[in-house]
Amino acid sequence: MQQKAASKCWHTIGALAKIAIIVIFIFPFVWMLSTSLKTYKESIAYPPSLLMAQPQWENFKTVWNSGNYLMYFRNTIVVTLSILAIQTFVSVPCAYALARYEFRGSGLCFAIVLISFMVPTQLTFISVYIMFADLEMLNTLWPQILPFGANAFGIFMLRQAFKQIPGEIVEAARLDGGSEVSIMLKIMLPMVKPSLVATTMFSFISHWNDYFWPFVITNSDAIRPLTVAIAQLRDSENGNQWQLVMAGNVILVLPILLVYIFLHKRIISGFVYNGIK
Amino acid sequence: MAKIELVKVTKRFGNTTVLENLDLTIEDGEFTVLIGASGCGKTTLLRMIAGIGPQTSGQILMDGVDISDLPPGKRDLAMVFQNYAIYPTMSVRENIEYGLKNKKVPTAERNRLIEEISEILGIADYLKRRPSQLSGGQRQRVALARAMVKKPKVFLMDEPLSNLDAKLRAHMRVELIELHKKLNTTFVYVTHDQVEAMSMADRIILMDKGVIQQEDSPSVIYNNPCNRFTAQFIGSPQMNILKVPDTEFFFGFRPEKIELSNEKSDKFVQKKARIVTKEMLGSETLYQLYFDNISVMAKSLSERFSDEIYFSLNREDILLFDKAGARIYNKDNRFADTLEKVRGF
Repeated sequence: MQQKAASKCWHTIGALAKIAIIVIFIFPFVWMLSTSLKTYKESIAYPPSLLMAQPQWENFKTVWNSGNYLMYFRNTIVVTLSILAIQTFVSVPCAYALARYEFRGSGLCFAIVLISFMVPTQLTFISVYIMFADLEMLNTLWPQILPFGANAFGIFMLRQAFKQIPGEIVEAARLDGGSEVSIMLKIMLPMVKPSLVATTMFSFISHWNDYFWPFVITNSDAIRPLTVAIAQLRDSENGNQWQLVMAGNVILVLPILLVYIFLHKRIISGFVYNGIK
Repeated sequence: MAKIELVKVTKRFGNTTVLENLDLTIEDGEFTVLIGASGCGKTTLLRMIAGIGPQTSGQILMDGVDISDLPPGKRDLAMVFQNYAIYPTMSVRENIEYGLKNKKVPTAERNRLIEEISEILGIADYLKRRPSQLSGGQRQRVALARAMVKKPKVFLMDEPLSNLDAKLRAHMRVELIELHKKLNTTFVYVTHDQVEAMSMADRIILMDKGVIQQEDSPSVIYNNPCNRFTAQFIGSPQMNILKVPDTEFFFGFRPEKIELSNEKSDKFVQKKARIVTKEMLGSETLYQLYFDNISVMAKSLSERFSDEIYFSLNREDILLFDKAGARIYNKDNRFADTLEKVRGF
């Protein structure tokens, strides 16, 4: 009886903790959404309230018309997709080689990957900036793309995933006459798809939301991404128009939410060991 | 169909030598079973033939041609793995087709071959399924189909039945024997299960610590083992081996060669013993007998014995071994004397 009561008590505590965590994560989103639909007065009112008298949908229109948002959107999409494409092209063979081949220096190569994973990007900003300036590429999208061509975290995750596949599958494929490239792409890659999707998704989110580096490296509107443009809404002459900044942020995160809604099962399964018999 | 020869092959993993200067010939069309305890080098041998675990030195010949440097896919052989190694993200059809595509077999021919093989193995209805939707037995058949469809010269099998339950294993054993008869191809089969080895092999190669102990037909291996290791490895329960009194030799006899009786008989060896344990196995019964501080196993069809019984042996059922474990045959001049001492024991 006592045990039953104790387990019930723990169950309740667990449920409350879950609710608390959900609230902590959801609240900023709700606050962003609600502020984006407020009037200027409501957005600066004290005490603040979650609800608005009348949803102000025109905030979105105002933001969209305040600059060339189609161009910013295009820049963000081009930069993010290019990064993802290059990263996949680099990470898959690199992770595969580190996981499945024994060669002189393979341990060192992996150590270098891990170290680059640990070095804060801020440390490299200045030298990378100077490099692109020397190459006279500052007025192109390349400085936003190329420094992120290799994703250490992605290589690490994919290597672990490739390592979990039984060696006999590769041997069977070799006996079936498959070339090393065909084995990697047709047999092994589909088996690590959940990990690939998860790392790609993380990379997508971090580069879609990337603010500091594009802010530092871009000099003209033509190459600025959405994040930098939205941050500029805050710095406009009319003071802090929070309702517009939040409307801009909703525009920014909407594509990420859509992608997550479609792919969440794959993303979660990327972190769970799925044994292959 | 192909004959395989291993010439002075050595395999080392770092400082550990698994096989050293091994010579072996596997005849064309033969069902050869490699058997031995785990770690004896049988799988290493198979992987060397396949090319997926190349030898450190020595040559491997197929029909007289040196294939030592050929990649696995070019050796014209197929392998069935212990855990099947089916490609989990491909359908059954794609699994079977992968090898054919790599061989650049035209589509029409591919479809014909897949249909033919899946019909033979009874998996025609599952071609669209994923391996995860198949039972153990069905996966086993897919692995076989994948090997068969390439029409290889040699089939290599690495304990392919060990993941199946007892009933299915017995069934697949018969199917493999039939398959071998139908295809008439060289089969090299690795197992640690002596029942599989005895029931399927044309020839058994028994290995221990990287050394071939004996290679012969199942009946010769069982009835005429060339050393103590072979005598005790094959047969369940294993052969009884006792010391010959006043010598450094040993004598052995199979449990089923013991004759049990409630009365004395006039056989070559005659002893009175006590039954310690009795295991009813259905058609036969196993007895553990105890006498003079010695325990032996006996197998009998009858189970009606009192606790104190007589056990007896015929002269021809007794095998002799020297100190090192090598067999002493009856043409050896030590044979007759030693056997006389057995009588007196």
